[in-house]
Amino acid sequence: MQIQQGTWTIAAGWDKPMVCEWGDEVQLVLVFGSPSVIQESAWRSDLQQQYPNARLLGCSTAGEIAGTMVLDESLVATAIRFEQSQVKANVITLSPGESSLTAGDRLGQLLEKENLTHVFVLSDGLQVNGSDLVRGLSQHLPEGVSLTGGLSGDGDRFEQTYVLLDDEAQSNRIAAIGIYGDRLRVGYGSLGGWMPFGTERRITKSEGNVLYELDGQPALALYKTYLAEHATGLPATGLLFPLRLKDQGLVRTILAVDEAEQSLTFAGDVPEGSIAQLMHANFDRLIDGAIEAAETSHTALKGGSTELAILISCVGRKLVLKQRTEEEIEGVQEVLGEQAVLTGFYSYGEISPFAPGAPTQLHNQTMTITTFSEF
Amino acid sequence: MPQDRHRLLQRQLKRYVGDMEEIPEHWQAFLAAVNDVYQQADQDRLLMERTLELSSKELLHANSQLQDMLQSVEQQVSDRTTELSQTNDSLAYALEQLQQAQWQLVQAEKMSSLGQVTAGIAHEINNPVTFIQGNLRHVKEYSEVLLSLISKYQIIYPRAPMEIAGFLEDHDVDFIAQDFPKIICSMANGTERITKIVLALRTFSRLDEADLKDTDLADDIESTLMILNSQLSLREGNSIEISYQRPTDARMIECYPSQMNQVLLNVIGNSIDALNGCKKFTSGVELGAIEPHPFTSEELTYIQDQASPKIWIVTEIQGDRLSIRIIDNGIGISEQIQSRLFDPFFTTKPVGQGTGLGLSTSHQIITKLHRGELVCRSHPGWGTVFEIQIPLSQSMVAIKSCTIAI
Repeated sequence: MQIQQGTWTIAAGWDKPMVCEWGDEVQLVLVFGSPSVIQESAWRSDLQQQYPNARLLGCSTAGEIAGTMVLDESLVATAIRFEQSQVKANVITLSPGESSLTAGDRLGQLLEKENLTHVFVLSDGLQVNGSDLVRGLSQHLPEGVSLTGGLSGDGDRFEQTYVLLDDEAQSNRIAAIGIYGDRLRVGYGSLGGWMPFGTERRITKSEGNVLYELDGQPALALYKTYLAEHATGLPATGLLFPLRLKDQGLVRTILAVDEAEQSLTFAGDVPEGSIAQLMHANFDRLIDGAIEAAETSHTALKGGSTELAILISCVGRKLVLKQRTEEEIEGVQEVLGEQAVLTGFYSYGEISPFAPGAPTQLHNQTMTITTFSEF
Repeated sequence: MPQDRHRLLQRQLKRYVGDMEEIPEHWQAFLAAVNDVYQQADQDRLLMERTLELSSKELLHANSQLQDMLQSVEQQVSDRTTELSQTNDSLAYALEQLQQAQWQLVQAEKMSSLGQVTAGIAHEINNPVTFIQGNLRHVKEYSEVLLSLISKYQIIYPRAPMEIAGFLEDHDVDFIAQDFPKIICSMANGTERITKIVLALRTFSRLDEADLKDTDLADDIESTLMILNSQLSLREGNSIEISYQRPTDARMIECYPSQMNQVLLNVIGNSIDALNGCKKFTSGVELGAIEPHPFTSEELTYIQDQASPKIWIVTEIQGDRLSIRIIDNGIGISEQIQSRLFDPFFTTKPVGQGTGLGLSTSHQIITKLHRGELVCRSHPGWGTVFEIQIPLSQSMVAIKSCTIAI
């Protein structure tokens, strides 16, 4: 596997020349950029010229990961030349009123199944119920094929997100690549590091990923009580208090609020009747969580050295860690080793099994790592 | 901007840097980043403190709700347990009542049948006995006439013809003349006894006397003793001596006579049983100390008479009550058994011999029906006293209880 990585900003262009002798052998270029940058066309033409045979897969973010750096208002491009594996890509645009389950089902049908090893998916971060997407898509995956990915971001604005495959970035899209071949090892791990606190509350009213009431009281009112003056920053500040679903063992994060309905929209399902608990975090626990996710994904490579790692970390973590955000990336790099090329983004949702063998689920507030190693 | 700087950072800059104007322009971005961290730390701390406070309040509230709920549940459990226990008690009581009522019904039916049979027998026997008794007087007269006639003949004709003299000698007519009045006398005694037995049977059966009635219980005691007479001979050879002094004047008591007979039969019957199983009169068992004992001094004098098996029946009027004491010098009853003596179905007799209902029914008849008392005083080895106390008048008791109720 050969990898080349560069970053691009509107002001300065590329940080270094994206030139290499094996450019036409690159099969995949991953691009993660802030919404304003990813809609630019200049960087795209550069990449298409440099890697003429590559599929260009990417999305908008709430922060880009390039090595151990976390950037804003930039774009990180990672060109990958697999030596033993092939890449095939598909994209769908959500039809008006189409459910996420149907969309996932539709995308799953498009995937070629033969010799498939792993599927990596990027989705619109605001128009999709991530849980349903995973359910729709997973039903088409042959046994042993793993699925990871993430929901695209829009900084801390929660207004519009974009996904691109080859052409310009668009909203309402879901794109997936299949990686084929039997000389590829894929590892993954996902962990939060958030701690539940206070009383357990029952979800007394909800529909899909929209939460109305906890213990018979409006859920939005509860969040506002805890956030106090930070409530004006909703929905972004809602990320300071993710919701733990006790029975499902999942964490849910807020994507939107509706003052009229007094409701909160989460990135995944919040089933009625479930027991929920507010969570909070501190720096050390978040960083430890990221390190543990890295260890899980590294172990899954069964001795293989990580060549590429895609890190999808929740925007909520960045909101808490702020200037210390890069510490969680540094922690991951230390576990995976200097040779590992890190890319990825801060997302509105992470898709992965908790650990190898477990079913794929939508997570929130986690650091989710997918590692690749060819042999 | 300096005016937006965190106060601590501002103070630190003043102390360690001094003149703000000397800070180079390219350090401003660094200072801004440090300032952000200072302010963020403050905000984070405030948020954490607020979170802790709110969460504590919620937990305390939840805790207090749980406590309330727990108390309410405990109360409910306690109420329900009491309720169940009461229901259980009343069911057990109802069952006991039912069993007793059933037994009493069976007993009443038995007593009624027995009464009818005894009354029938008494009536049937009474007629021929009266007939015999009535004619016996004539038989006596006639026999005296005939014997006088023979005597006169012998005086007037001292030399009787051979045939007559032979007949007189062959049939030992002289002996007949001596024995005949004795036979008549014995027959008269026999019929008199039959008459007494018939009377006792009638008194005991108390047919048509199931209701409250003025009664001289001395008659009932005597008739009960007559009925039990056959049981007074003990297996070991001795006989039980009954000591009963009938009062000279009649004492009319308002009671249910047939029910009282049942009580007397049960209690005296028990005393006979206590003496029947008693080895001390035959094998000279060593008696323990009599002290301490529960008896009155009068009872003690009776019980200390341990020479032979005896039952004393003592009746006396005590204020507005009649007391009947049945005292025996039998084996006595242990304290453990005394406490259960009046429990339904409690018996010390071998299976099949006792129903365990005799004393419990007697207790019911005395306490519930007659509003009296039936108590037992006993000293194991020495003997037992059963004391029956009933009001002289049931209507007086009813008036008293009404007055109390008002």
